[in-house]
Amino acid sequence: MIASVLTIAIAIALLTIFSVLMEGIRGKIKARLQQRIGGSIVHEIHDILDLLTLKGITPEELPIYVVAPYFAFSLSLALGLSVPFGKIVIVSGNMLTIILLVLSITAIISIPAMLVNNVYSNIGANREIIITFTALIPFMLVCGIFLVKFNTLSIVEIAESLLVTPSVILGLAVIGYVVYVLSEFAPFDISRSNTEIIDGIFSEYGGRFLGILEWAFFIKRFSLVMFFSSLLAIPITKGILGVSTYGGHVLAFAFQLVFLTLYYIIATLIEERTARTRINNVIKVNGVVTLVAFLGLILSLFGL
Amino acid sequence: MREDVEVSQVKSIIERFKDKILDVKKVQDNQWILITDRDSLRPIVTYIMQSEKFKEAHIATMVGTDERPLRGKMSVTFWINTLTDSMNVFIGVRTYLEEDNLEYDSVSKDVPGANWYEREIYDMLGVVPRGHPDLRRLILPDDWPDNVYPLRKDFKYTESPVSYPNYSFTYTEERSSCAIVPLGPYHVSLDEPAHFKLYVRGEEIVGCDYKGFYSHRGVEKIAESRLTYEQVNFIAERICGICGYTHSTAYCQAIERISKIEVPERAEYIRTLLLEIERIHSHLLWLGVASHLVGFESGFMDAWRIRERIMWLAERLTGNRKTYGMNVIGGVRRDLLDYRKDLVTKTVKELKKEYKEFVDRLTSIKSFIRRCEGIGVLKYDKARAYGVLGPTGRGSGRNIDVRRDHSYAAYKDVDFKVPVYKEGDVLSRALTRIDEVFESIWIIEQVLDSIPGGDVIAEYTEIPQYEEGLGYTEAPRGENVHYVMTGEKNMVYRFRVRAPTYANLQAVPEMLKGYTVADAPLIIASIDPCYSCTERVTIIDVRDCKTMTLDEYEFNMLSVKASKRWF
Amino acid sequence: MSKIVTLEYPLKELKAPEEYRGLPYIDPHKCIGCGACRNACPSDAVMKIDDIKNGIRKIILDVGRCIRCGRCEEVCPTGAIKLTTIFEAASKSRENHIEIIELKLLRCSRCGRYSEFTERQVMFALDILPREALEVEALDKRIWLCRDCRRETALSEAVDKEWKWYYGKLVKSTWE
Repeated sequence: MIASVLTIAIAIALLTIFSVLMEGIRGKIKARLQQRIGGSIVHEIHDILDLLTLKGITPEELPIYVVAPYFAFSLSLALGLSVPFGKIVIVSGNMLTIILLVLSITAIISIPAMLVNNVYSNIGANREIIITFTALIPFMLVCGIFLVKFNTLSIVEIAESLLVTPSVILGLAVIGYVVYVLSEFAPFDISRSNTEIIDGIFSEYGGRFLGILEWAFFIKRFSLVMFFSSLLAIPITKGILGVSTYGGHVLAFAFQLVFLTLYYIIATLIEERTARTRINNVIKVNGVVTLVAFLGLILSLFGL
Repeated sequence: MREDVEVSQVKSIIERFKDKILDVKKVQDNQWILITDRDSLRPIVTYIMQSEKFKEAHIATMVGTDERPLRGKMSVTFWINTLTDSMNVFIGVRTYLEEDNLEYDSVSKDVPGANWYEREIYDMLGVVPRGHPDLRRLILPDDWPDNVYPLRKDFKYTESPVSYPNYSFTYTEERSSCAIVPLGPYHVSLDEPAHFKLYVRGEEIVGCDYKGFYSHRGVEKIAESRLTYEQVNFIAERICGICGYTHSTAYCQAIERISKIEVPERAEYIRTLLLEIERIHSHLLWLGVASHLVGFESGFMDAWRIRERIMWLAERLTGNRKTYGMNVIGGVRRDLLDYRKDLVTKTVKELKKEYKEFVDRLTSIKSFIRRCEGIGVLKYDKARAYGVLGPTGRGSGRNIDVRRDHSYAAYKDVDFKVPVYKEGDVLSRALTRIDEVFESIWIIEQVLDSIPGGDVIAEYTEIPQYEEGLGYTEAPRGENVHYVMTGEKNMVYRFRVRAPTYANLQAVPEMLKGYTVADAPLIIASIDPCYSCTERVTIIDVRDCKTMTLDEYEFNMLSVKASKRWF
Repeated sequence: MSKIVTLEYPLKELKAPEEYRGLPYIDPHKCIGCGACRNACPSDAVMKIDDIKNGIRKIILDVGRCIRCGRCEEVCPTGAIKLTTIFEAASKSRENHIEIIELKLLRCSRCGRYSEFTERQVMFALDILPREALEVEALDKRIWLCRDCRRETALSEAVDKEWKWYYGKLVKSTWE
């Protein structure tokens, strides 16, 4: 009992605090690449806490705006708790849960932005919905690959039974890409682009609500990257230790954090070298990835 | 006077229009005025602008002067910069209008580039261009009362009358399904207040409306009312936040030409050096801003880091990073001492190396090139009709450059190329600017090699009264023309500034049609707009729009949110 | 990683180079109150206000109006007003931008009224005039007077001299 409460507490602390800290680290890396001193690593935490103390501003005629940030926050936490920490899963731990939660977060953010009478929000919501849908289709195809190969959709079981076959490699690559798109690293950060549509889907929020929403997005990004890292960390731990022991859990967790950090750093380096893209480009690239995932599915049906 | 006209352009126009031309006046060696009556203004201007005899022709400036204290009439002059293979001439077509009948036939239907000029003269002086397609207020604010014209001589510069606001964005056609995206007056991607109303369908722009002149400061009125010749020099430098030195040089050149002051050669070389330094820093600023607008932050940081070298150099040469304060009428104030010369040589060498690396890196980023290619295309015939200038015009195939066509300062002694690209999209404008920086570095090296000795300032005793002339420079954004008519008591009678963004902004709605909202900030920024120079904003006609406008409250809240920055 | 090019300003200090044209500063020991800077300033940042009744001249420098052109520095005869390299001029109150130099006007030793030039201007003129070209006693008589008194004394001396000459002639003719 105490162990489970402890794990839940550690998980929530990691999700809420570490996610924001990673953003600060990314900012510092970017600054050093551009030969600047940059802000301190904890400045993102400071900013969000600052925002939470301000008065919240939303459009008066849409009460949904007041509840949407809280929904988004809780859904993001749920997403975070449904991915494995090491090998422990707190809630569900199913690939379908991830799809459902990501869709719900997008819905709860985009629907108010569509309803409000503000063109910038509408355009931002449009982009957000397109990005999510076109990224989730290849994800579902990869779920199909795993179902065919391993007959399960539980993340830990998939990770423990991973084999090095062409379809599985394609599947992992597609998942790595989809996680990048859904986390909205550049060049995919167009639903909130500042210079074009002035904060896009977030443009009608102010103060406390904006703080909660930003936090929710950071947690969502962190959870997705944790998910991908666990798919890499668990097989490697299994390769080294073999049995599922207490040491195995800790080692898996350590590997997961290492992969998470590597993923964030690589994403930052890629961000440094790209400009923002346009929405029709996103659809094109995601379409290509869908075809790749489909190819993987065909290969898996043939036993490869 | 018309018998001894040798210049072939002017002669051919006089021969064609015979007795419609009432008088011919030679203002300077390359500036002529043809005086005509109010009905012949339009045919003559249209003929000059559309004639095949001229390689390129565009409106340099258009001046309306209240000359009622001098001869009881108001004057309207169109100055057109005509380029041929043999000689380049500014031809001024002027007419005088009596006080009780201030109308003339509008030119804008045939010459789209004259649109704003005629609206301005209607707004500020009360001269009515008959038949103008879109005669609305241009400069003055919405709550300025009717029938009060600031540039008339009987209006004191200290008055500020107020009345009720009445302004309308006109829709000229049927409304159908499109939304309106307001870009401004406060928007993250604009440096200064301007309002672009984009009519969109989905994300595609179908029309654009522009209103501006929020930063109009009344420089022309104050120059006429309370400043001496030397003081106008300082105000001219502060017209623009980036290209101030070109304005100051253009004004000083206008006065020097009118008074026949011989500027010493060393001063000309120093002026050239500083003008090129300004061009480099302005283009590097633009490269950074363009990268920032497409989200390529590290290009932004790199461009501005390289630019810092030039700013420090300017600070050590002139005492300030911008606003050099080096010009006086008759030369420059400070000499280029030897240690400063070595400093310039060293800085330029290091800059060249870093800049080359930066350009190679920038052009290899595929996502950046993809954002710029094929966007905001302005074809050559449209560019010529609107009279688009500077890198914007050269990116669309217009082969114009004031430094080569009407040489001033030391440009006749140095050798440089003028880059011209044909495609007319954002990428060709970017490449034009990139090439121009290399040319500027080359010009600076030549100037330092061959700078002569001697004085840096010429003495002058008096400036003649009631004489007129043009001063022109090639600012980083295009051709910059100052018209000066001297007056009495050491003050100017009329001072008219035409900055290049004035002509370029009129073409922006054409560039925006058919592209997406994501590209709008980049297209607007690709003409390198300098709103302070322009001092104005105009509206462009909109087609098929639905009424989904934002009211003032929502609009203001948008602007409030816009100041929150995301990571 | 290459060199860092940013600075944590204002926590770290940033100095401008020596050629920088910063805020102007008037050295009160050198200023003579001639007002040449006021004539040269394009933006009316320096003002010269005389209080004739109490005999005080104020030179008022408003740094907020200054455009840092440097013309005042060029025309100052004593080198009192100079442009420093300070560029930080933000302040909570506009009064911090204003500097006032008060100088005493010359009090006429004959009539007691104040003239329109300062004592220091007179001392400066005496300093720069070459000694050899002057009649020191004649100068000393006139230089401490106001304009009206100078005119009157000059006139009365001339009238005296004229009378003396005439009287002398009269006496001579009566002698002969």
